[in-house]
Amino acid sequence: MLRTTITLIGISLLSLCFSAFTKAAESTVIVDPPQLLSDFNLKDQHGNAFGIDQFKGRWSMVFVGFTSCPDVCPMTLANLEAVRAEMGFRMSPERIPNIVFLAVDPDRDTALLKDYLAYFHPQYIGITGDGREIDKLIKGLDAFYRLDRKSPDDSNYDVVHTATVSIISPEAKVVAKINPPFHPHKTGENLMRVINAQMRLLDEKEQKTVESKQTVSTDMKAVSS
Amino acid sequence: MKNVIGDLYVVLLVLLCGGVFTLSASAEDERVLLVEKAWAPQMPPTVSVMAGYLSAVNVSAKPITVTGLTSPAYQYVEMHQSLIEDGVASMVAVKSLLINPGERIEFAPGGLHLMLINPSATYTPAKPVPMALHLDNGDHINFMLNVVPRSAQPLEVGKASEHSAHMHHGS
Repeated sequence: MLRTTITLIGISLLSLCFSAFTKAAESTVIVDPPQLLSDFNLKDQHGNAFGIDQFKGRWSMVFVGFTSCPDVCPMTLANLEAVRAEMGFRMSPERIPNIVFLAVDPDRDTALLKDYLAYFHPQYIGITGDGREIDKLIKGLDAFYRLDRKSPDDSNYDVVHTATVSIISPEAKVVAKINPPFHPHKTGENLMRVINAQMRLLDEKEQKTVESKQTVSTDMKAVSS
Repeated sequence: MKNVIGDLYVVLLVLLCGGVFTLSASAEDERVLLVEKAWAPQMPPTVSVMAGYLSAVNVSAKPITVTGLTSPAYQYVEMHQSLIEDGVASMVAVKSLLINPGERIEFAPGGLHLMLINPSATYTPAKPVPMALHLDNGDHINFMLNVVPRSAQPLEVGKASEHSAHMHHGS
């Protein structure tokens, strides 16, 4: 009995190790269970309100950055667009995630965001606003940023920020994180697997809801008759 | 006959060695750094900080130290290294860059790059940007930086040089 238990523990540990390795190698981390975002109040680059409701009903990839970021942010935005293009060959358009750029340096970002994003893609969404509201979303994403201002007059400061991209489901839940480098093909494949698996779960959930409603309805009929 | 062949062999060796020494001595005197494929992604005119990229190859026999860059087109040009560690992106300034003989250093997206700060005009693909790369012996190399439209930019995934051993980071 003891030997069987030890063997089972051994197999479980091996499976865990293999699972962890596989996830690391793919640079995709599944958030299990998915984490529902708390509400926040930001604005998009066109001045429209953007809160948790704007995440609902669509898949999104959220990237934390800032418009004065000359290297990593443009590279990431361009690579994420390539990921979307790759997914477009093999997925229905409603499952391809929007790209949402969370600009965490509002003093410099607010005025530039519209032009900056239009340069990359007209469909990109950029959001920014009050620091406390940014922090609410950052907390929900389990992300991080820090403005490295050396003095109040410093206008060429760097911003240290999370480089991972959060994948948000149409229920406004963080379901996965993808890590750089964002190789169009590999990252696209990983994302398709994540999204398809989540959609299957959602379909099953909806099916169960329909079935339970039908059962209740049948019971009600039985009671009334 | 055997002696003649032997002597000729020695003469040839001396000539060959002499040539090599001459070449080495000549190469030692001059430090040759090739700057290739210098480009910057075109950015919206409102952006005040942008990146530039290039390849630098030391084709001489002596180490070369790059101490900085200047351009009439930007208020400041700096060398920076992007770092992504534990899922967090940051940058460090690179004050000087040692390039060993035969070594090629890639400034590429996601790694070592130029920071082009406060442009004096809007630079477009039709208007290459004059730049100068400065060396520790006071020499400089003039080159042109091509502005590349977004549609023509390569997708880069971690192709930059990992060159931290030779970089002097700023505080």
